[in-house]
Amino acid sequence: MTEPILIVNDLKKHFVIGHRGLIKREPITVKAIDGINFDVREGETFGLVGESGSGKSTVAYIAVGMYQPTSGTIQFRGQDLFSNGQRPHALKKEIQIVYQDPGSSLNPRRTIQQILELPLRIHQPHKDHIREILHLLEMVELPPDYMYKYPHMLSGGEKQIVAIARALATDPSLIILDEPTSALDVSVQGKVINLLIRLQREFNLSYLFITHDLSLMRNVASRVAIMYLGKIAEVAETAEFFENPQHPYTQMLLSSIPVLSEEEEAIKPAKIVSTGEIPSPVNIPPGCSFHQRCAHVMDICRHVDPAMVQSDSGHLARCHLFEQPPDVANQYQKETATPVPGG
Amino acid sequence: MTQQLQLRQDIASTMTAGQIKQLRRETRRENLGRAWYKFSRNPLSIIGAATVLTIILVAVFAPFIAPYPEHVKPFTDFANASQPPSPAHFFGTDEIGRDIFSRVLFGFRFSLLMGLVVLTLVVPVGVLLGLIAGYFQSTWVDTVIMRTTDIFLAVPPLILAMAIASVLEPNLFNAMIAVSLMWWPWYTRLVYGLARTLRNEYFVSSAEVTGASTAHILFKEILPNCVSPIFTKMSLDMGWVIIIGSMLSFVGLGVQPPRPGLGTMVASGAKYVPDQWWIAVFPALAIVVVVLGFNLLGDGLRDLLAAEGV
Amino acid sequence: MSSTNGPLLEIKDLQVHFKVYGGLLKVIDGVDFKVYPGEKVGLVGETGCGKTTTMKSILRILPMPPARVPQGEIIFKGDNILKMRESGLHRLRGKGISMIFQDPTAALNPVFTIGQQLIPIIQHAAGDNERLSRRDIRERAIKPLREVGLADAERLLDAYPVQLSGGMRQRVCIGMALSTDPELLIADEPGTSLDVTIQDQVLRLLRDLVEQKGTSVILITHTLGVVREMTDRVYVMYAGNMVEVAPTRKLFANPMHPYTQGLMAAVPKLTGGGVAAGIPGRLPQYLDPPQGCRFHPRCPHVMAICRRQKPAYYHVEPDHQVACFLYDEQVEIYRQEAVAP
Repeated sequence: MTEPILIVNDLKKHFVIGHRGLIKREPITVKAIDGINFDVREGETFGLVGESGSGKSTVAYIAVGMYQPTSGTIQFRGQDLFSNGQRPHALKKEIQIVYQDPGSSLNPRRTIQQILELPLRIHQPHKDHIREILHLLEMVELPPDYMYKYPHMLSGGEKQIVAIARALATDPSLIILDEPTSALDVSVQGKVINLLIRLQREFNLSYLFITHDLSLMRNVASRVAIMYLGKIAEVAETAEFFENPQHPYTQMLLSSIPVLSEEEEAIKPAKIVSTGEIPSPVNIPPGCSFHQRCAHVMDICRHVDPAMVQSDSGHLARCHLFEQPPDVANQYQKETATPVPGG
Repeated sequence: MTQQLQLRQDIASTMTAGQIKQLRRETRRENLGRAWYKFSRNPLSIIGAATVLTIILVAVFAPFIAPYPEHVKPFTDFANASQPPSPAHFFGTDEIGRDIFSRVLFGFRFSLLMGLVVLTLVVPVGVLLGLIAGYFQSTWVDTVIMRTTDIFLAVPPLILAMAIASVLEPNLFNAMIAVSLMWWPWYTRLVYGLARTLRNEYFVSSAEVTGASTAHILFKEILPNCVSPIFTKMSLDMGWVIIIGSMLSFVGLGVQPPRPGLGTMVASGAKYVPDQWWIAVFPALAIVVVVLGFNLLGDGLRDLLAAEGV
Repeated sequence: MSSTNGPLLEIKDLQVHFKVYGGLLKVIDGVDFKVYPGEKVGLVGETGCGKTTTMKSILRILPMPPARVPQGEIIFKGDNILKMRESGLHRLRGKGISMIFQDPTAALNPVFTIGQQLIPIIQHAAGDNERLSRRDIRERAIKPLREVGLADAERLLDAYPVQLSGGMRQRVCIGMALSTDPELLIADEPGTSLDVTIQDQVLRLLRDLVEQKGTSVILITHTLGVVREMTDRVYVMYAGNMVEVAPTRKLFANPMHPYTQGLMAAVPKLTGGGVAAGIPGRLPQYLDPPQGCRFHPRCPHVMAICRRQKPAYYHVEPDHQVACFLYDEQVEIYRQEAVAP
């Protein structure tokens, strides 16, 4: 069993977006992430799936250092990332990120050479950067004359490839990929994904791969976690996740994916029509945050938030359909004075 | 085109320093060509650029072009006073016999100097403050800088300029100080708004998480994206500064006679309108031409510097 | 599907060029396209292939310099749109043909309420002759909002776009476009900016509505899965040319053009199997497009003739056409020719 390179423990991130009332001034909080646990193992691609409002991008931004967590820890190879305020330089170089929108992740007023030179200059101040840059371009299969071009002269896929080259420039161990191909056409997506896979093999990189495209996730990740309104709903090995989804939300999502072939239609769960809007993270429903849209909702779901339980080896789901630990069951009893169904 | 790309891929890291320099030169040349294309789409921009260029050349070479360069120094020739425009004196002579054409040519010097000095003082200070306040948005830095800016902006500009200029000895230099003190807040406010938005862009986050210094982020990431509005404003401001300088001269607070400031000349010629109209009208037209030239140039610069879209 | 009455909209040999630094971008290179009444037609192609440009030329909302239309006809119910005068276009836009754009947030003006944006459309549709009272107009404006499944339509009229979610905004745009009962609706990537479950809802809604009203739809997208679920017939576009057209089921069962095959192979499968390499190369430069078939530099089956000549449409079946020399009767002879580098 390979060692985990990243361990996320009970991570929470709450944003205060305003205040209610003139006198009391109660803060309005967005619970973007509300207690998640997972780990990424060395050399693996860990997938994080979810719709907007799920908090998946927030996880990425905290891991890479853009935000400080409200509570909880993230450990990188045993080192706490947030122990001393400012993240040390050495850690900044180890964890890099590729953003979703190549149009805004590259400064339109800087050339490719200037963009790639920055990380090199910060972490290797005295080397010959031009050669390094040419080498980076070669590694990502971009022609050398792109060095002095501006981002707007490149296609979407090429811009994203430059963003990948920039992430590689510091020789990182973990790269967080936040929807790296969502803004690209499917014909270019393959090129970028295969590049990422090749680089992973060559440099033994670990990836935290975030996307909403389940078909892509199926082919990229070794393990998948699905997030809903700031919490993880289910985690499993990839094949298991897709062939045997446990959580009703996973089933609903999988049933909505447009696919191209009959055989793909066959493995999708039966169509569950989603009704209503995705609730916003400001107004998270009480109890299980998914209960308003769930086809299997029970009374306990409206009152008590389920705990994450193991349904199979390595397969975890957070749902009352599975036997919950005693303290959760007791909580329900206390709240409603009803005996827990099934004893 | 695709074939060319295939070939060049394998010579990547074996490129010599010479080849790299060549590549850079070629790209620069192409960028210049594209820039000219964007600028020249609008014929008015070219007219503006040509006008400004001409005025600059005229101002620099005034001693050699002006037919009567000695008329800008203390000079009188009452025999030839108040002559209408003629082949000998293109713009006529003023009430003490000085050639107006020569004086206007020299007058451009004061106008350009005014604009240049004020902008050189104002732009770096204003832009720097705006960058800092915008990047450190919602901290005490932001509050201090922007409230100071608000205070300066609250005072009616012309009155502030006049107040300052009249406290100090009235001359061109002090007029420039007065105008500078009231002009810098506009740049701060402009850049503040831009910097506030830009700091949330992903390319700024990328630089931050990689460990770039604040100076780098302010000057190398954010500032280049502010260049277009700043330069456009600068060229339009040239026109405004010149007008305000002329206004100050007109009320006696700027360029003092007998020096040929354009506003000063309009002031002293105003009482002879409409009989000897040329004494005031030609300097006034000169002001119009300068300001119009910079405005048109400003429009062209805006087209040129606009960030490329799709 | 195809009506015996002939097409509602027909584009014949359309060419669109753009004048830019460096010369002329020959983007649309002779495009033929038909939509029949009551039909849902998909237009698939990657970003930059010219699909949005083609659709904008239908409504003549391309910026005319730098764009130019040197050739072609766009015939809607017998009239050539390209030759229409402003008055005819005014009657056409919004009433004969409506359009929904990709990003509903950008399509709605943030400083006006939904009602303030919807009411002028209702008035335009009612024509300049009918004078409607304020109450009548509000009644009429509520109807399309209800039709797109927005509860509380009355209150929504006074809401600002920023108060709505992405899915609701897209529904509003759909409601606005259909409120005038157009005969043809052009939908440009209608679900792309939305989450999968919401996109699913919105597209279903769109399909139900147009089937109910009998509106023809042109659905532009780069997502093959959406095309498969939503359309009756599909055009595949590459670099300003239509390369294949077929009824949807036939296209997916049996894609003929190498580009179509490449696109389908590039989509990751839910059943696993890795991510295909995609199609090598990139879209051609429109300044200097390749001679012959525009796809030939990226085509795995390229032959010598492909570099010389543009292929015509070959009817593999009466309703399935491909623009590819592989389907020419003389393909064996073409294969023999040495493929010069």
